[in-house]
Amino acid sequence: MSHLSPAEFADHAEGTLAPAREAHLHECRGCREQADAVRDAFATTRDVTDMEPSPLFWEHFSARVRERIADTPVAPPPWWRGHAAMLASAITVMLLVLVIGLDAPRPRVAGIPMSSGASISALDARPDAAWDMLASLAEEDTSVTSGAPSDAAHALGLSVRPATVDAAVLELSAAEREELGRLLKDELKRSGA
Amino acid sequence: MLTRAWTSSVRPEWKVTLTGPGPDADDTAPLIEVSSDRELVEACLAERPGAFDLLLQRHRRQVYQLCYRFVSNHEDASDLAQDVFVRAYRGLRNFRGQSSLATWLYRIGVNVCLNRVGSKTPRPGPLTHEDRLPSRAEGQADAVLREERARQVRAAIARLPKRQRATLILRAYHDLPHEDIAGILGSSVGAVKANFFHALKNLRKLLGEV
Repeated sequence: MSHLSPAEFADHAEGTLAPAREAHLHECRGCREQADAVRDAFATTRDVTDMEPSPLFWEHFSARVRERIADTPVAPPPWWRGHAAMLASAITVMLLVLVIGLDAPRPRVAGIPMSSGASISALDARPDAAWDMLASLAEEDTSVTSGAPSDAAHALGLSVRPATVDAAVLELSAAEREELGRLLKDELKRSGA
Repeated sequence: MLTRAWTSSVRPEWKVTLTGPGPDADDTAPLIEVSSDRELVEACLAERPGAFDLLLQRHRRQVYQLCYRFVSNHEDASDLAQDVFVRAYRGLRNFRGQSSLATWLYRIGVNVCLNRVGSKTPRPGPLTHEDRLPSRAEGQADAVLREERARQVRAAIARLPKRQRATLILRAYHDLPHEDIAGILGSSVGAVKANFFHALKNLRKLLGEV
């Protein structure tokens, strides 16, 4: 049987060594002496009584901790924390711009022609206010879907390729479409289109 | 109804509410009642009056004793324990409740002590008579002998390698399970047990030199 490992000596000192390994101690004098020494050292260590400072010390201690906490300068919040809402809006706009500018492959959707001459009326069947808004915007500025970028699109910084808008818009969720419509409408109003 | 909470000398996980001050209470004893660590931390984060004072009362004794056992010096132990609570206050939002609050404070305490021990040689010294409560049960001579033996053991512990010292203190005096010690020291249970064994072996050798 193998000698006790350091972990097993620790278990023996605490009285948790497995009985099978305890049997080894009866047979092995070296392990037994080592185990007894370690157990004695543990007992000696535990025999040291707790230090117990006076109640006056605890009053002083708590007061000192409170003072030090009061003296601790409060770290300023990260610079971006006060601008989180603005940052979120900016990121949303950037994502939308990226989605629109993306040269994505055309999805195969029955009934919706994806050529440069896409008819926006094909979208009218969808019971979605956001679609209606986008359709009306497109009707106001048909050059966006016909492949000839308008001034408004230029003003938005959009690089529009033929049928890209159809493909990109089809991939948007209802909420994204609604947000896109709102942003486009705002921009068109601002640019006087 | 609010009652004066006095829990500093009992196990932190017990809910104890007593009316009137205990022997360990101070003038600013908190007037709130919480039972779990989680509630206490939430109360602290919500800046409820007295919440951090209660946390301090519950854990200051154990934290101080941990530090004292590291440095064997009352003055340094007091400074270190204060450091622990200041750091705990600053980092309270990081307490996730994955361990007990006591274990979390021990972790901070061990880090603070190991850093200090690394930069400063401990200068062991007994508690002054003003700071120590004499035991009425033992005679004066017995008390002196007992204190002398305790001083020798503390001095020997102070000479142990840092991780062995941390392991021995947490296991022998604070009764932390090996698993908790492994978590605090960032090691395995096997390594903790091995450290414990080597600490006891070295301690016996050091005491034999006295």
